[in-house]
Amino acid sequence: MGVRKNARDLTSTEKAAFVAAVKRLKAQTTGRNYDWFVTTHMTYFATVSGVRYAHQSPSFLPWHRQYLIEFERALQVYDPAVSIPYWDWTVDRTTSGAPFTADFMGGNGSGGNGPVATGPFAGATNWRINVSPSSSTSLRRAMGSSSLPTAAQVDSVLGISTYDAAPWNSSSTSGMRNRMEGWQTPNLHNRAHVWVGGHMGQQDSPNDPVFWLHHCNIDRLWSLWQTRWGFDTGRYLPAAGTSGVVDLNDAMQPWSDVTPAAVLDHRAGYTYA
Amino acid sequence: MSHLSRRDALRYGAAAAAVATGVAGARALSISGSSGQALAAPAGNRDPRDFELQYHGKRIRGVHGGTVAGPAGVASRQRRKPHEVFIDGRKLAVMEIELPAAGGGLTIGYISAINHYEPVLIDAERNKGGLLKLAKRAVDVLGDTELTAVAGEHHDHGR
Repeated sequence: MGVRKNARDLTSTEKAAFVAAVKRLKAQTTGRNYDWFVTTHMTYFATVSGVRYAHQSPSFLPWHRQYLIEFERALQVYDPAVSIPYWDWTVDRTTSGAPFTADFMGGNGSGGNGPVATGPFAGATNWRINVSPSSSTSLRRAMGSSSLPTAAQVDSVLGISTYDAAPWNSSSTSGMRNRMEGWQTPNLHNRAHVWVGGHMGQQDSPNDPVFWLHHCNIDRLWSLWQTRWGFDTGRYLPAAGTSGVVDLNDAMQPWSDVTPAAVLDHRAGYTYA
Repeated sequence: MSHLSRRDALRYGAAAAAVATGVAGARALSISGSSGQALAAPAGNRDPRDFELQYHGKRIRGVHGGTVAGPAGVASRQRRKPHEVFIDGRKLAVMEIELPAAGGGLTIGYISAINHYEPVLIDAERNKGGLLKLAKRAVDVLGDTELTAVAGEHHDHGR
């Protein structure tokens, strides 16, 4: 069982191991390599066969949970000791502190809106962008021109006991999910994407490796919500018979056999430190 | 879940193919595919909010989609032609999503491949310049880079 740690607590060795595994997955030329994950995220930002699987829908949280599990397994092929760390942006809120240090994710884009200039993902030679709606082959960031969610805002979202509500999309107002995803205030997930900017604000956001740290934190917050309100299947909504979204026992594309019910209780597979 | 329509099945097929080809295929960073997609509104039929101007070294053009007659029973919001943005002649697909309105009820926000997590409001009374704002924001994000063909692909965010 893996333990997902706060990125600020990783040792130098752990940071180097994570970066090395990510780069080996990037260099992989067949199968579900790094760019497969980028392309999959781009495809599933929209509806696929009339169903919203990954965004603007109740399955935003379980879909990304499975997506992270698969990414983590792909890294563990290269290094079984690696787990995805999380970026707690309620604590680490600067463009040069953890995790944006030169020994890990690297820093801001040059000029505040250009190619990342420091760290292991700086420049197209170290980290080449292959699949994107913009033509830059170097990773770009434009950090810090907006605000990150606060701890008080996280607490307010985790205090909402209802998982999600009709119409099960970006306009839902009475559940936790849309506040967590961020189409409704206080907007946790979307805001951190926008705060990092560059590729993280785009459809191809997994091109920035900090994507995984951000989504690991979102998954951790969902896990904290589950710890408070329950890991049981009765806590996920909708239960059945809902058009256009993933019910509790529907498969989440692109996985043919993974349902929200199957990923609700993650504690046998990984935990958070 | 809903049943697959033929159109949905075709769309899913295309999406699956794109996933399968991955880096090697359809989504490589070619900027040639979407250039020159000129779309001139018929003379006399222009929306007064449409624009074409130079902004930070790039030519930006916006065409507001008017409402068109839709099939009976389809909600009015589904009868609007999509708004269109072009940056240096390359298309940036603009997509509608429903959002909670500030005072209750619904409003329509617009996202694109470039501002995927930060919708802008376009049509509401105080947001008549929304499409121009979206285009300028995209230019600010792009900096000295350009859109690729991927940015022009329309995709449906459902409702």
